[in-house]
Amino acid sequence: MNLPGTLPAVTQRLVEPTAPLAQGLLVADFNTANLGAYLQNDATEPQVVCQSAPYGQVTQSLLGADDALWSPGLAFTVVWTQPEAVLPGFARALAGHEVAVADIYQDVDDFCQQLLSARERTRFLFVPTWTLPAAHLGHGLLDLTPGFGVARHLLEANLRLLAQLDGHANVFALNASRWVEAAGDKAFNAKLWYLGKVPFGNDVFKAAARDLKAAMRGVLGRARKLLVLDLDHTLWDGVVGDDGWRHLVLGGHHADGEALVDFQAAIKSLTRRGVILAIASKNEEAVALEAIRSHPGMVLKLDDFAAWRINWQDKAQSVVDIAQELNIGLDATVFIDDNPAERARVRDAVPAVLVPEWPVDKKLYPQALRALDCFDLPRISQEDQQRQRMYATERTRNEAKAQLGSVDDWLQGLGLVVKADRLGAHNLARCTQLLNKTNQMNLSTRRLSEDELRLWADTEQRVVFTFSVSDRFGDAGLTGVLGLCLSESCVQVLDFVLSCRVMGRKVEESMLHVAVDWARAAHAKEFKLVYLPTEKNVPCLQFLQRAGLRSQASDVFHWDLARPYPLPAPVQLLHAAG
Amino acid sequence: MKIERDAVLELLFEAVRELNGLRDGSQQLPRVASAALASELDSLGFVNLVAVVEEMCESRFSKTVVLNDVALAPHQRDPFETIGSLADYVVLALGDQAAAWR
Repeated sequence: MNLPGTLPAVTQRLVEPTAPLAQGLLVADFNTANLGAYLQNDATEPQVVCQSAPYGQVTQSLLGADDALWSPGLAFTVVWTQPEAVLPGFARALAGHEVAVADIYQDVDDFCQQLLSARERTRFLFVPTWTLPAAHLGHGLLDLTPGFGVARHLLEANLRLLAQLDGHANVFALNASRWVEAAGDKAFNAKLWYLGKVPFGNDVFKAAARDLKAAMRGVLGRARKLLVLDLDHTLWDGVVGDDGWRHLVLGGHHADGEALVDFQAAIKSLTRRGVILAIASKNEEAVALEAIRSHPGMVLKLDDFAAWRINWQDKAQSVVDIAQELNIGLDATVFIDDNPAERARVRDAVPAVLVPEWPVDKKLYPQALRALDCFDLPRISQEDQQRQRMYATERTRNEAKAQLGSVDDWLQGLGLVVKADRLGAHNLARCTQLLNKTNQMNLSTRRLSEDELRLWADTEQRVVFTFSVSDRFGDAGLTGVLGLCLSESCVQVLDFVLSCRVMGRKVEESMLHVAVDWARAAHAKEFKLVYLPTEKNVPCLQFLQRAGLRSQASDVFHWDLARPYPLPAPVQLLHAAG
Repeated sequence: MKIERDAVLELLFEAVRELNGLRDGSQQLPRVASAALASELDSLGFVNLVAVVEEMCESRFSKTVVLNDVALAPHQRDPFETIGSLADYVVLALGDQAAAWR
């Protein structure tokens, strides 16, 4: 895609169409109208509409006494309580009584039982941790003593809450202390409480709404995954082409230099959460790469970057080129640059890319980065932790590809191993993540939560296969999902999902081979795939059209089950035990 | 120190901006002195406005004003009628002359 000076039509298509409003329910022992208003007025995706359960009726609401609250299709529920309202032992401790920790634990367990009984009625359940107004924590040394310590009971209760919620796929605890700390002395508002039964100042609700929206984007697979960085005055201070790398400000006994080292360390920590790094810089490539390799203050090494465009072309074009090279959507891309003109250019030309405003003062860079919530994930899989390495490996792989003649020769030399496995507790989280994040090689773009996927697969007539891919360069991990359904002698492929990282390496054909094998073993008479078009899954249609399948309509593809679907020659297919 | 009406109006416009963050796009209150308040606010909206204005007066003028229990005689104007009338009342309250409100 080429970007002219004016806003091109093609980039406008990258902006998400208006999505339906996600329905939310707010359950609390206090008035949640302000939280609901901030959630509804927040312009970021997903757009939501909230209903508040009657306040002070947490137990009744959670136990489903009012069916009207729990409408089918409820996207999310937030259960936010004050500890003294739902933990009788804690209320006694606040009144000055000695309370055993066992009593606190029992109260938390009882409350969690109510919470978990509601998790089947909502797609995602968010539970902010308990907090207390600072005025309650004023008993000096007593605060942290066993039995009487209110602060200690609060810590015990929160830890017990987290332990009880762990392992429930659609239940997520949120750290409310962060919202309270961010609001400072405006966190609690006695006037709002006594006049409106609103315990928190609105700065707390604003922070909560921001975190809840980020959490929703995370669980819906909309977290950003590519960070494109400028170099001069961004990763280091100075202009490497003018000053030379030895004179760049980075590290050492210099306030800005130290801050930039911290900034780079914070960027590096993002790679451990699955964020991919790239560079878009106006420089001479050889000069800039030498600086990255040679400067002792560089925390980020060349291997930390999956791609770069270091040249004199338009930065917006560079960002688009990088996203295309890495097969990552522009709506999953973030661009950081110290230069307001470059930020404005990328923002205008490629509106799908998130371009945060950036502080002038280098000392504020680390905290500006940490404040970004666009990378927030609900969980971190092994694949997330290794993604940066995988992309670096991919670069090596592509370099090898460039040296070889044909694609078949290249594939032959890769030593490709595809391992098929069944859906189970060990791969459910990653499988769900892939299902929800993959856009391009995705037959039906079915989005399911962990529970929904597990329940769907939990019948004899359905199966979910997962595919892990490795080659002589490295292990790409679990990158493919296949969902099959047998009905009246017909096997239909519902989910055909493959990460863009391994597309075009005959993994697609290997998945079809496994699907057809399963259909033949089930003595099915018919095998079909129905393609559901989206703005992004054209690569899937293109694969189906060249895969040797029979198509009667443009979107329905068949395979004759009299014969197996051939396994591509370069692929070694393994089946997991069991 | 006498606090000028313009300074209070400026404070109230900021408070209204805060309040608008809680209101639907179609229900935004205009930030002009003549904008109606009382007829536009529900009970929680009123509480939010009172809390924000009191907090701002405290931090900006280091002065406590209490707006939620304004006792009005039958013939008196409601200070919350418009942003302008509220500014007039707050100026009096900040000068410890709330009783002079008519």
